[in-house]
Parts: sequence; C-alpha cells; structure tokens
Amino acid sequence: MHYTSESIEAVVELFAGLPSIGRKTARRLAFFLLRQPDETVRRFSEALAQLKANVRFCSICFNFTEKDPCPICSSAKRNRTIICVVEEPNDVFAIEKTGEYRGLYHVLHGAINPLDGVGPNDLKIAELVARVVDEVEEVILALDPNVEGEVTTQYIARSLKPLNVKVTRIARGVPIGSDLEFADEATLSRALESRIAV
Amino acid sequence: MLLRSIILENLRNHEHTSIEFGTGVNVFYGLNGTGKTTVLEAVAIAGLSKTFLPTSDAGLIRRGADFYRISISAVSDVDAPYKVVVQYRMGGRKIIGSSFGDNLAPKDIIGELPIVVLSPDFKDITFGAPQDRRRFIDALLAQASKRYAEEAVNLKKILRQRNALLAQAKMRTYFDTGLFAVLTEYLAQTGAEIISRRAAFLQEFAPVFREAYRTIAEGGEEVNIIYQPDSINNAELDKGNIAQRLAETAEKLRGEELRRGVTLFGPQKDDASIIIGGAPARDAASQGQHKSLLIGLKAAEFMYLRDIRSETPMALFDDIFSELDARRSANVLEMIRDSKAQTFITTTDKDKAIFPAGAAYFYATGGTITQTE
Ligand SMILES: [Zn+2]
Repeated sequence: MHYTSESIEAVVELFAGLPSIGRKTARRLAFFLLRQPDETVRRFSEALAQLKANVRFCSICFNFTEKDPCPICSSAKRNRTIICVVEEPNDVFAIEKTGEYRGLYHVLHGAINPLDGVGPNDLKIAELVARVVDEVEEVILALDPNVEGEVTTQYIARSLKPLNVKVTRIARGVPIGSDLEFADEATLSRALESRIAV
Repeated sequence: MLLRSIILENLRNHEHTSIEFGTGVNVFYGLNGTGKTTVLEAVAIAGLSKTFLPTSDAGLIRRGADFYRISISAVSDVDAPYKVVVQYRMGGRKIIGSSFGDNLAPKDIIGELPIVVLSPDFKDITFGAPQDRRRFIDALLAQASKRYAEEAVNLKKILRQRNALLAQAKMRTYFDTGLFAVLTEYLAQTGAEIISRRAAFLQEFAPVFREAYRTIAEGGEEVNIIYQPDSINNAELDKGNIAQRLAETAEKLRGEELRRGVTLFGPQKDDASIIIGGAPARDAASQGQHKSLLIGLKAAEFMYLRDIRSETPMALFDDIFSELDARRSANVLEMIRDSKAQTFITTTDKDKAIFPAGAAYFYATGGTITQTE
C-alpha cells in the first residue's frame, strides 16, 4: 500500500486488533482521528496511557479499580454475607445497573474451556474459595448461559460444597415484558421444566 | 408453508437468479451441471442452514466471487409472511437474518421453513453406518423441536471440551479430576435429554413409517425402525434412569477413556436399526427394497413434521425419478397432490414422469433459470 503512510497503517493495525472491529472500520476510525484537533487526539492517547497505569484488579473481588480494595469491596453499605460470581467486569456493571443487588462480587475473568486451554487454575476460582469464610452465607453464580458457563457453575458449586455455604444460580427463563408467544421455543421449554408453584 | 420467491446470488454457477415459484409442483429441468439442483440447495440452506450435498460453504461460492447470498420470501399455512436471508462471505461465518431478527444462529431458523429432502444421496440412511441414521434422526428432530436442536449443539460442545480434557490427560500435561467429573455429569445429563427425546420420537415415528412403507412405497414386507441407544437398555428409557445409566457407564469406562484420550460413551454412538422382514435392512434388503425404505422414511418424515409443527412441509426431490420405477414415482406424486405440499423437483427430462396438471416448469441452462410452458 504505497498511497498510505506507515503511521496510519500502524494505527489501523491496532484498531483492527480490537474485538468486533474489522479492517474497514479500523481505517475509518484512523481517518476520523486524523481530522480531529491535535488536542482531542492528545487527550485520547493520554487517556489510553492512564488506563493501563491507573487501573488494576481489586485484590479482593478482581474487578477493575483505581483504588484497592475497590469502592464496592470497601463500602460499609454493602451486604458482606453474599457474593455474586460473574465471568467479566462488564457483568458487574450489568448487575449494578439493576440497582437491586447490595452484596459483593467476585470476577472470574473467563469461564472454564479446556478446548482453549483455560482450566480452573487460570481463573480466580481458588481466590473465591478462599473468600468464603464465616460471614459469607450465600454465593450466587451468575455466569453466561452456555456450555462453558454451565461447566464453570458446576465446578464452582463442587468446589464450595465442603464449605457448607448456600450456593445458588440465577434463573433462566422467559424475558419479562415480552409476550409469551415471542419467546424462543428452547427457552420456553426450559422455563416450563423449571416451573414453580404459585 | 409456501415459498413465494427466491434470489440466488453467487451460488455455484448462479450469478443472480430470481425465481417466482408456483404454489404446487415446481419442475426444474435441464442437463446435469446447469444449476437446477442448486435451486433446491438454496431452499435447503434457507430452511436447514446447510445444503443436503456434501459441500463446504466456501465451495458453494461462484468462482470469481467472494460471497453467496440466498433471500427467500414465504408465507405460512395461515398466511403469516416469513423472510429469511442467509449469506456467507469467504473466510467468515454464515450471517443469517429472518423476520425474527438479525444475527441469528442456524438453530434459530431450522424448522421455520419445514423441509423434507429426497435425494439419491440419502441412500446411506438404510445402507450406511450408524452415523448416517443418526444424522437423519437429528436433522428431523432439529426441525421438529428447537429444544432438541439446542441440546444437540450443547452435546457437541460438551464432547469437544471433554475430549480436549481427556487428550490433555493422555499427554499427561494436565488433569483436574473435579473438572472431569463435572464434564462427565454434564454429558450424562445432556445425553439423557437427547436419548429420551430420540426414544419418544421413534415410538411415534415407527408406525408412521410402517404405514408409509405399505401405502406409498408399496412394500409388502413388515418393516420397522428400532432405537438402539449406546450402553442403554431400551426398557429403561426414562430421563432420570438414562442419566444414571450413563454415569455408571462413565465410571466403568474411565480407565480406558483416560488411556485412549477420548470419550467412549454417549448418544453420539447411538444407532437405529431399520428392519425388513425381521432382519436388518442393511444386510437383508434388495436394491429395490432400499429405495422403497428410503421413500417410506421420507414420506413418514413429511407426515410427522406436518403434524408436530402444524405446518405443511415443502418437498424437495432431487433427481429421484431416474431412480424410481413408474409406479413408485406415481405414488410419490400422488402423496404430494393429496397433501397439497409445495414441491420442488429436478429432472434431466421433464417427460420422465407425469407431473400433476398446473405444475410450473423451469428450464435450467448455464446457471440461469427460465420459466417455460
Ligand atoms: Zn473489589
């Protein structure tokens, strides 16, 4: 490509390495940045540098944080008897948005996947088991509803069994607010199986 | 279900072909290699997410192009419109959109356009190995039940994960007994879901098959199809029992699985034996009987799907009239007429069979399709 510059290509290459960004989009983003004022681009690159310098894992829950322990782990207002286990920091964000959960979190940073070489030791599972001490009464497993999430759920449940703590998982079912007739048949079939008395 | 129209872009030798279908029988005729079967393949891809011929998606793209796309417009028996677009770009993954949404998985569209395909390529169902019969049953059940389709996808993933773990154990690089126990338990649970559904299905399907063999295939012998699940006794087919039995089998095979580094039990090893005159058809059936058995199975598939989905399936017949004698051909065409199914037929010679009055004829040549009289 003789009609473009090495600097542009370097940025395109980096953008294209991001999740869900193709080469076309990467190029569009690079050209967009080129048209921005110097100040904007400088702030952009500084923010990126700060991101890596300032953000680290919380040593308790392994969520991203700038202060260790993180604001949730160090808050006096959170219920310390419940831990909600999720795969990714993004999931903490999703559950916090509900405004309904007042307990603590634990971020695994992935799910068990032997095919991709991800075993239990590559995740923060031992750290979770170590956290389950006397004051913890319940561990909620809120992992993705797929094969890897299910394997991880069962593995953790098994690891927590000797500790005599209540282990629960979030329900799978029909989304609220949509008509039953529009629910997908597989979901509806599972929801029927796990029906509850009223 | 009724297909109104289809557009094929860059599929095999079709660059851009647009067809408005007739509501009854649609006959595509022309020499071999002119692109008539490709129309049937396109309908299959839109309904089943893949063609019935052994070809990769990349192999379906027209030479010189870098993608194929199939767009279909249909209406259900109760006149609800349904559209589906399936496209594949070289090196990417299939992109599927339908009236129900974008970015769909294959399992989301399978069953929406119920389809029964009869092609000489399917003779392996009665002739071939257990996996050919499993494929027949799995494809049928995936169209009948989304839950089955989902469990089947899960089974495949669980097996891949479990085999990866066993392979690591064999190489002594890594083994976590707790994780192995979890995957074994999961395989037993999912296996039980699949086995109990296959068992219930074959209970219902066998009488439909016997009836179809007698009337449409005009076979005089007693026939049957009997489920033979791996390591499970047919007598104990209740979901809880099956999971229990699979777990016990796993316990027994554990040592050998670790030595060989691969899963040795589960529904991926099931068979269903097709019986004719008291003996397995694989060994006992004559050439003619194999043809009749296949017609019987496919006619039964049609009737079973129609009843369970409350929707008339479409029938795809790929070059079957060169293989069938006049009487069997007439019976098949009569069944279509009685069921009012929209039908897509390919033939090298349009005078090969007597097609029903009102059939639409399409001439195929060099990747183009022209409607004729
Ligand atoms: Zn924290």
